[in-house]
Amino acid sequence: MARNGRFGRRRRTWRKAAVGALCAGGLLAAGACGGDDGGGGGDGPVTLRFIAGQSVKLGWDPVVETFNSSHTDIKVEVQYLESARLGQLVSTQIQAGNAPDIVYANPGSGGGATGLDLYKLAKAGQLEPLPDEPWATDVPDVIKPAVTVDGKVYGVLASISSYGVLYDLDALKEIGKDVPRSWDELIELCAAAREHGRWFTGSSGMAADNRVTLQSLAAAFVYGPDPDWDRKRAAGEVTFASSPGWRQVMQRVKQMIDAKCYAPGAAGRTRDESLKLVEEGKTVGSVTTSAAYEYRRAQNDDAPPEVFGLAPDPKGTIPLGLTGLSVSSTSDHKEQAMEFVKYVAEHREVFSEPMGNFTPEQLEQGSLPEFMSGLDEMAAEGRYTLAAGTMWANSAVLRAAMEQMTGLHTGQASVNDVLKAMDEAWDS
Amino acid sequence: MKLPPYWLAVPGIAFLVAQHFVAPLYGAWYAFTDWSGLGPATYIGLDNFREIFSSEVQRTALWNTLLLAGCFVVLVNVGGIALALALNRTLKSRNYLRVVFFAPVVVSSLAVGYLWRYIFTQDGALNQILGAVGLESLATTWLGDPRWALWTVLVVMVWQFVGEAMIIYLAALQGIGDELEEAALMDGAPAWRIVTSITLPLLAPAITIVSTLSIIRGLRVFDQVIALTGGGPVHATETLSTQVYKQTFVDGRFGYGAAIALIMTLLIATLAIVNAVFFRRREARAG
Repeated sequence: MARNGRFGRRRRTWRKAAVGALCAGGLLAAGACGGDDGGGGGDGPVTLRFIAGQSVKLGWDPVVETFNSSHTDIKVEVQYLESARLGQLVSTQIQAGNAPDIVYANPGSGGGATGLDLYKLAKAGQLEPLPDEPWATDVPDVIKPAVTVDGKVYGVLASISSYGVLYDLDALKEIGKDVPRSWDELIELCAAAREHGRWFTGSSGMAADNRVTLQSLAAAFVYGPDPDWDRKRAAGEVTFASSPGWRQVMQRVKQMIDAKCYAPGAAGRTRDESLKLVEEGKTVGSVTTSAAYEYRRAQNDDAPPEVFGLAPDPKGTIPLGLTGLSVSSTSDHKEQAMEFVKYVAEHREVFSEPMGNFTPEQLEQGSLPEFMSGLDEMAAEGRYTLAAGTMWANSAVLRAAMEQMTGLHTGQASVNDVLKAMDEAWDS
Repeated sequence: MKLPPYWLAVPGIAFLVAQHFVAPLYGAWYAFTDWSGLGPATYIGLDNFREIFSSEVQRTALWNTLLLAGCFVVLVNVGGIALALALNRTLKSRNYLRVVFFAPVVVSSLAVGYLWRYIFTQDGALNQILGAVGLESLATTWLGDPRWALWTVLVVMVWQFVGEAMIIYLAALQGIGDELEEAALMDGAPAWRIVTSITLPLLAPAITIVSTLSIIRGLRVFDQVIALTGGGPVHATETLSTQVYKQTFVDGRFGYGAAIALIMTLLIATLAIVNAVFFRRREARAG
């Protein structure tokens, strides 16, 4: 009778609850253990996971679309994230043993925009070496060190961009000036722009834009006179503080600030706010990556005609920003992932054209995109170098420079302070 | 009444221990390593902590964190009590105003931060208003000026969370009987005396709760800083949380970042406990 009484019912109720909890736990465990294997187990196409920065969507969308339509047995699924979040997410996935099949690693050792540098990932065994075939190895000599670790190539070069100034041709015409050919002309342009109610640049003095400023100026004043500077720094033969070129880079930034080249409020302005100043026609140029040219046109059909120029200096070089792709060593679908990166290497123009970037072939032939044609001669002469930071010891060096350079705007840091912080970050 | 068997609680207790103690303790171990986020971690003793305490950036971050948390606790309490007293029963529109003041609490801190960016930026609403009323000389680069940047973060924090304190104080005020205040009024006590001698002592438990919550929230401030200043200019608004993020996820120094996080955890635990004990004693004395 007791089993049918109040206590018996309660005992059965608790048993049911316990079984329910165990089932729920079991389901959770099954879910955790039985994740998607990438679609390789059935008759459908193998699915490859690829996470890229939001800023390169313009380029990857057509690549993925054309690849998927020409490879019915493989399907690349791309997820776009803001650059800072991308590094965080992919790092976490790698630690969890769930790395994307295709890794958007920054060529070199300096971290790049996402903080995922190819050297660190390759040395940790997270990247699969590419085969010794022309599609993987055939890149200009200056670029090879950025994708090669211990003699093996770990990244395919997807495209190249540069860092300099996008000049608004209508604005230049309005104030009666041309793209500056010397540093003095650039400083004069700042004054002329102000006389016409504009600013030379609305670029930010915050960290993200400081990076572009530094890479543009370093190509002229550091890597132009001494292309081997990074190796010397790594060997301890030079420091930032002891290098006249680096001192000149920071002094030029200070000179631009003192000459009121920047629109007021640069130290607190974001990149979006800078873009707003450009769209409102309040500037003559913007210190930016060359990829901004097509990005602006994608955002605004009425964007004014623009041309791309570098920091003007007779010894200057074109700073090269690299976009690369690698294959995860832990991928279950390495063969298919390798097929995709091979496709990217063999169809670089599909990514480069919509991005406003260029291919290694264009660089070597001196036939850059139309808005960069002023640099064709330099390119044909081989006057190009990897952008500052690409081959540095770690990402903290570039971050230290980017943060400290804001201090040149606010008065919190001197040229010496910036250079000292960069040396400390390198040696840490 | 027969209680359910104890073993039924085992999964829950195991989950609680795993979630609240094992994972953080395991994470704390990384504070004593040089882990880069990839590959094995090597034990390096107290090296990370030595580097933290010798780093000017980390000292700045610690000072900013304490300053923000301290000011936040005071302003949120004062603002919350003031709003609660004002909206307790006198105004006809009090229900609408309560909603208005509480609304920011439910919005994401990151979204609030980005919203205020547009107010504080060079061409933003604040400088435009100053210009419109003839005070353009006061207009400045609020987020890019090291003298002001930290205070802009504080303003946004207080703006967002003062409504939460107000709701807690309002709930506490509802529990205070009218007869005490009426008796004091009949005895001729002025309003300020009623507040300081009757209302505030009776609000002591609520003050403990609000202070503890706000000290924890102030010490782990992150979203507002990232959205408004990113820790700049030149670390002027850097906090321990932003340093944990930058060192860990930007520079890939997971061991070093874990060491900062461990210090932050201990700091929050210590100050929250000290704060709670202090206010509990005051409550006991008031009671």
